[in-house]
Amino acid sequence: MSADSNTVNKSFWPVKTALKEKIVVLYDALFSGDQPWLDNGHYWDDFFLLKVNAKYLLEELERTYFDKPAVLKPQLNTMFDQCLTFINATHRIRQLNAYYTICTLIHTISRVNQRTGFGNPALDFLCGSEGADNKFETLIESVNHTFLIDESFSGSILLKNAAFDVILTCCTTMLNINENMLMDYMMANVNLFDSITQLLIRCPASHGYDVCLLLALLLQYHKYDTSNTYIIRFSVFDDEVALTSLAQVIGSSLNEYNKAYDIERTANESSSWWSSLTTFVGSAIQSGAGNRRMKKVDDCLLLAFYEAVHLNRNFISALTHTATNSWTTKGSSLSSTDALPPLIPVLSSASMLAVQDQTDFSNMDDFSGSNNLLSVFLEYCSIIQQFSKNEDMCNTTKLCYLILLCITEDEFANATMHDENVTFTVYLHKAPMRHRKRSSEKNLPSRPLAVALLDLMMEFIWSHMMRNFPFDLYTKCIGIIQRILSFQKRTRTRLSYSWRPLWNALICLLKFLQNCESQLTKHRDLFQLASRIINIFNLFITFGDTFLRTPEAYDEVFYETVRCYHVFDNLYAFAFRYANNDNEFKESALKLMVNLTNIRLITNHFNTKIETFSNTQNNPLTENQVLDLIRNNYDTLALKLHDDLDQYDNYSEKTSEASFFANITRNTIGQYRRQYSLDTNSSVQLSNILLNEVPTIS
Amino acid sequence: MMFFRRHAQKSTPQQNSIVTSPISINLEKIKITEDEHESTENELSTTPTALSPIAKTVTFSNEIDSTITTNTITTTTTTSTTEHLSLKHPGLLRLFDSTVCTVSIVITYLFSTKEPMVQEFLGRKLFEYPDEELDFYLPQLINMYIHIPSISSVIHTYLTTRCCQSVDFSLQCAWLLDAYIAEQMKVAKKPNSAVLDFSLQCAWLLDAYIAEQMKVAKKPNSAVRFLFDILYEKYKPKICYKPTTINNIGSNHHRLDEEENENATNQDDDTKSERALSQDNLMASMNRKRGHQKSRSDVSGIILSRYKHSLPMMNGEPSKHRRQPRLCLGDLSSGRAFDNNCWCFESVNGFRRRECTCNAPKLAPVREFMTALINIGKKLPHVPTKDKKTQNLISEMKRMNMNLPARVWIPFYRFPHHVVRIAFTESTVLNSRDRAPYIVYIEIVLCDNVFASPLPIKQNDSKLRSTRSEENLIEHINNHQSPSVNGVIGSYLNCETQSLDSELIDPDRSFTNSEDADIWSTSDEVTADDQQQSQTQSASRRNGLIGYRSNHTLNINPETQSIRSTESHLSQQEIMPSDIRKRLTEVQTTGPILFDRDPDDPSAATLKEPWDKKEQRIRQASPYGHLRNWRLVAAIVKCGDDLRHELLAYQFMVRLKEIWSIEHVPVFVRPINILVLSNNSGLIEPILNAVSLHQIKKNSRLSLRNYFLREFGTERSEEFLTAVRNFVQSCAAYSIICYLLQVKDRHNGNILLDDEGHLIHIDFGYMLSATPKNLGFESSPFKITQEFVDIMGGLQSDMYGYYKILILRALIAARKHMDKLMSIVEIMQHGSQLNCFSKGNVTLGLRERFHLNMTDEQLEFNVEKMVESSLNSLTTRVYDTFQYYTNGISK
Repeated sequence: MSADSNTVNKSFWPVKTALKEKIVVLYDALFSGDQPWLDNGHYWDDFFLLKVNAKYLLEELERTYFDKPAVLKPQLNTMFDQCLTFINATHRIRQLNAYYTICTLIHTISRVNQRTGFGNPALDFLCGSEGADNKFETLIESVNHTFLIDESFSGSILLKNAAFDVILTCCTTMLNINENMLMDYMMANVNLFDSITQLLIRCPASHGYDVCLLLALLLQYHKYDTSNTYIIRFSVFDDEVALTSLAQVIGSSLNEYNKAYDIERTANESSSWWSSLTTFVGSAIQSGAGNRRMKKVDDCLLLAFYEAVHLNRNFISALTHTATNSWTTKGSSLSSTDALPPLIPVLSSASMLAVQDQTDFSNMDDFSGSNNLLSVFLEYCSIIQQFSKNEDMCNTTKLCYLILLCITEDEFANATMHDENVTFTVYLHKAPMRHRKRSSEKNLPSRPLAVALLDLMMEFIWSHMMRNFPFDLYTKCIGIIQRILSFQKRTRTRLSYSWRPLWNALICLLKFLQNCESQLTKHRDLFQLASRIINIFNLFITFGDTFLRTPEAYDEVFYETVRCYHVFDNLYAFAFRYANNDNEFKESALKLMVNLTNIRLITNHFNTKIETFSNTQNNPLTENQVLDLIRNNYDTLALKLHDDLDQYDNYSEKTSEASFFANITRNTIGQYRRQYSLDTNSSVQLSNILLNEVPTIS
Repeated sequence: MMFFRRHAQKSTPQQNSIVTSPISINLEKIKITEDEHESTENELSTTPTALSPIAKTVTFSNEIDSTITTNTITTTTTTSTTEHLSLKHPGLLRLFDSTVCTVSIVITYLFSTKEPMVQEFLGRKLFEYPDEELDFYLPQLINMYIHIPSISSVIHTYLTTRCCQSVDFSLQCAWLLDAYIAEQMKVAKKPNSAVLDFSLQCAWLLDAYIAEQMKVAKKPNSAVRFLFDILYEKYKPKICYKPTTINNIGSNHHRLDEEENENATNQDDDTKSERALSQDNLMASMNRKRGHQKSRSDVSGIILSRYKHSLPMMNGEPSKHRRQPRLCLGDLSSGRAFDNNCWCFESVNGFRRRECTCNAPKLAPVREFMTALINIGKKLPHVPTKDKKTQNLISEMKRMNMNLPARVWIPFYRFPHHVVRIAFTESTVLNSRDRAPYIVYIEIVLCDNVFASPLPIKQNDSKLRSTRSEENLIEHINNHQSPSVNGVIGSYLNCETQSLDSELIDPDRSFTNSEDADIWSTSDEVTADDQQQSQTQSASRRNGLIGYRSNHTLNINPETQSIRSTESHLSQQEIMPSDIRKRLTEVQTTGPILFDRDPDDPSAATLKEPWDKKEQRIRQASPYGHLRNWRLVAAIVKCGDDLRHELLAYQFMVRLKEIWSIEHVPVFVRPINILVLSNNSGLIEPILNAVSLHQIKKNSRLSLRNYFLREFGTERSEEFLTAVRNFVQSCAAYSIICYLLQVKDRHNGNILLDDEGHLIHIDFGYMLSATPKNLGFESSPFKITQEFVDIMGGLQSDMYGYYKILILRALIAARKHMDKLMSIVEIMQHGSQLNCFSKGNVTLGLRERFHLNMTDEQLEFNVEKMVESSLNSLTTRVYDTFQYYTNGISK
């Protein structure tokens, strides 16, 4: 990939010097401490016309930084200034190269200053003490400007990518985003928000990922203590089109991941499970030929999703927006189009119409209607939660659950999920377990999303009763169920759902909690979790009339509680033990005992009836007989009323999850830095594009 | 004098086409004269003068082409036609001048006369009738325009004048032309379509294009059609924007600009349109004079086209971008698919323009809206199951929603309105084997004028209730948004953040639980007008109902709330599970009869839900529900079916209904409004609160009589008897209609029953000479089955006798006004490719079915016979069985 001038001149070069790219020669001239631009009037023109050799530049910069910083600083400052000049130039190749150069400069400085932090000294070293503010402001404004270039402008995608490289490099100079000084400049220049949302609308396919990453990072900066203009802007942002685009960007990545997983899974059906898992995770990281830089579903996408759900209530309506644009499913093929002249996604309807009439709707599975963000996300959760033994995956699962928690707290989202007209087919992956068969049925009926969500939660409960008990996730899971139920109770929504499996799962969980007493009580407050579970039963018992569909379902609540009475009895005894001696759990154990009151009343009441009845009979009682008994003996039963069963602590990130999010941000930045590689070849691509264009322009 | 030339060019081919009598040339010339006059007037920029038309012409006639020697005095044109008539057909003239001369007669004579003079006269006569009456006959006019060259030249002036006045009329014309021209024009249209398309985008190229077309199109007939093609795409909308339409459409609404009390009111429509025309010309000419200064819409018009990418936009400045978004008509993912970028009526500094001065396409928004609906209908049949179809439909509708509110309207609802939202979760696919017609529920807001009234602000679905703090924030940010004050925003927002973090976001979310709950409550009595009140009401009512939560829980602060919930203490109150279970049982057994949701027939449940309930429910869920003018309308979108039959049937039924009301025959017809969009797509007005007999039988599993009993009460109850009477009256009416029009394909899926007991037939796809697959089933005069008779009370009942009497009376009444009915069908038959006219002499057959030669007694006997034979018809039963086995439609 050496420049042409190189090959032409090479015979004239002295033999002893190794073959050098011309740009390298120019770099060397700089680092020697001279001022080559004084001799050569075209020095900078040449400098930016040539393809950036990022690797060489980076190494040299680092070397000179440590060897002779005093020499480097003025050179660096000049370079920076020149970059800024050329970024605003009209020559597109120079513009592109200037972006890459500035990107390398910032990256280098941040690398060498990693320990001390990217503070004022570093900034001073980079662009001189005077006017640093102005310079960065100019930089961000130019980036902004680049973002808004019309798509029909050839090479615009490449330019925008380069601009993203710069801005993301600025955002990731420090692992701890709060220590990143450059973020202040972003905060000052709010126009950036407008331009990235515009980008979302105009070309979500090519820049969606970058926008998500940038947005996620911007929103993390000083989240709780000081000003973050982006948080405000984003929380009141109500451009439906942009939000829908955002949802589709996230949704399509998740969808790709799901599909990849599905292919992998079916391919490895025969081989052993664990091997398939490891190969899958491995391959997902390496082979995922998605958008630029997107190797797997990054946490940053989920982070953006989380922030959208958490901050922006308008985003909720985009959750169930089904993607009908073709690009969403063909994201993988888009990497190649980077090199091509930009696509024009918005064609006038007239021409589209003509095309549509002829198309043979061959890819009708795109029309299945189930690739909306929420249903894709639920499927994704079902995959991710299978691997929550892995710490990284566990974090991702937690993020997913936080998203679900936010969703279930939103009235509108709940209403949508419960709307019987809005049904989707959600395929939930189930971890293979010995005691149950794997169902690979693909033609599931479509159901309201709340059903899928409840199934997902139930699946989690069943599959995670393990030694390394994910207490936190269980708490969230129960919280999600409670939120759904209290929505139903509040709005008198009668979801057609068979609750029995859920009750069984919950009862099993209660049993498991007792069995693991020795390990679990050391660290966690089991009783609190148990109380929440019991409260769910209490909701059914005391408010069943508001959200159950049939009276029979109400009978079944009693049937299940009576059938598993020993679990509740043991739980009571368990709580009793802790309540009566002094320990840290005393209070919550007492509370659990209180919450159990009704269930104990029920089991006692009906067990006596059942016993007396079964004494008159020889055979063990059938289910119907017991149900009959229950039905006939309601009258003599009186229960206590629990207040506030449907009240829950509203999720608040600051109080409970601040460190988690700091961690996630750190990981995201770390990941970006690890993967950091400038693809400077795009300048060659750009020149090719421009070359091809020449005849058409004339 | 550009404009003079333009008009002249346009009219030349017409002159050629007409059988040129000297007077008709004269007419044309006068038109030119007037045009000329107008443009001159504009040049002088005078206000409309008080000159009488005659004087005007006299003044300017000297300036016109001197070749016209016959051009004497203008007034003679009209008088000469009249004179001619009075000489030749004194009787006719008397008829035309008399008060009994209705639109129907005019249209009939226009069609039947061969005399150019008479046609000429009638063409002018059209102007004398109210717009609404003539609109009814628009299909007839269009059909004649297409197929009868001599008439087309006569009514051309009328049509164009009307088009200039109203976008709605232009749209109707465009659609009808499109539909009726379809077969013949396909060949002619193709070669030039590219030119046409392109020129549509650039208004100022149009003149050249028209001239070009006039040279190319040699055949007079096709030239006329071509003219119309152009007409509906560009020629008209250029003229018809503006206050004239405001005054016409919204005359009975309060005027937009209150202070406007000029002479506008006492001018008649014609002069207004003239003014409109002239002002337009003035604008355009001014543009031209200024040289190549493109107007805004010119640029956007170019961008709109698919040639967009050939004109690379240089770095769009961000500021410019925000100020003037590009035109993206028809691009649903843009969010502005139905926005034609016309900002003329935006009030600037409190001043609002009276008319639209931009060149933005006026027909395009509605046309794009309809295209979008139709495109969805085209896609749906390819989706495998009903379930998936509905899913898809919902998501497509959601996509449409992104582009709403917009200045679009549903043409068959006559009141001016804006479409603000589609209640997308309610849309459902209807029953049909291979096509996928679907019903959409559209939320509209009434307005004074569709073009000028401000659109409601876009509301997000999830934003049912926006918090105060949030709104303030938006406002502030917007205020400070100008890019120059970055620093200010920074500092301003800094202080805002703190409050945001501590108050705005979190409390906002936590309050949703307590407050949103009330909005979402499913209580039925809540009227949306006083939502504020109803919220508290419903809350307290619910609390009272359930009775165990004291009121104050609603007012708890989030902080305390969380503390309380963790405590979750036991109160002393006791509850009885037996009560809970009893309530649960009650919920299931009481309440209205609703059909269950069935994945194979999703529409049954949707259609069964009573309209007012549905409207209320949707209103509550809608972010626009609080608007005073909010309304819900519905429309069925049908693709792949020829709705021109339906339109014909609609016209026929409307006339019949009129006739019967004039003659006081108490029968019931419910004509279904049709909007024909092309020869195979269109919109149908749904009948509210009605479900098909098939759906009734399938869902209730009752015989019709038992269903009546269940729906309306016991046999002796008032409701039941009224329902039966309604049934009989509607049954009689439809028996006549089915008989006269020979409507076939009468299976139970095509017969509806509404909530008052009326029987309503739908789907007139097979009538007159057309039968389904030409199988020859259904040979009986109309469909009456034993089940229907059972509802009436059996063969011996009074009601059954009443039914037969009604049929007789209705038939006699129809016979009396036969001419009105015949003309509708006759005119449409002319040159028609419709398959209902494909076999035999349809009009003759229709005429025979009126039994003109029979006495009333004979007719009575005949009716008796028809009912008898229909009742005992084997073929009706065979057809029902056939439908049962092939399409699963209940017998």
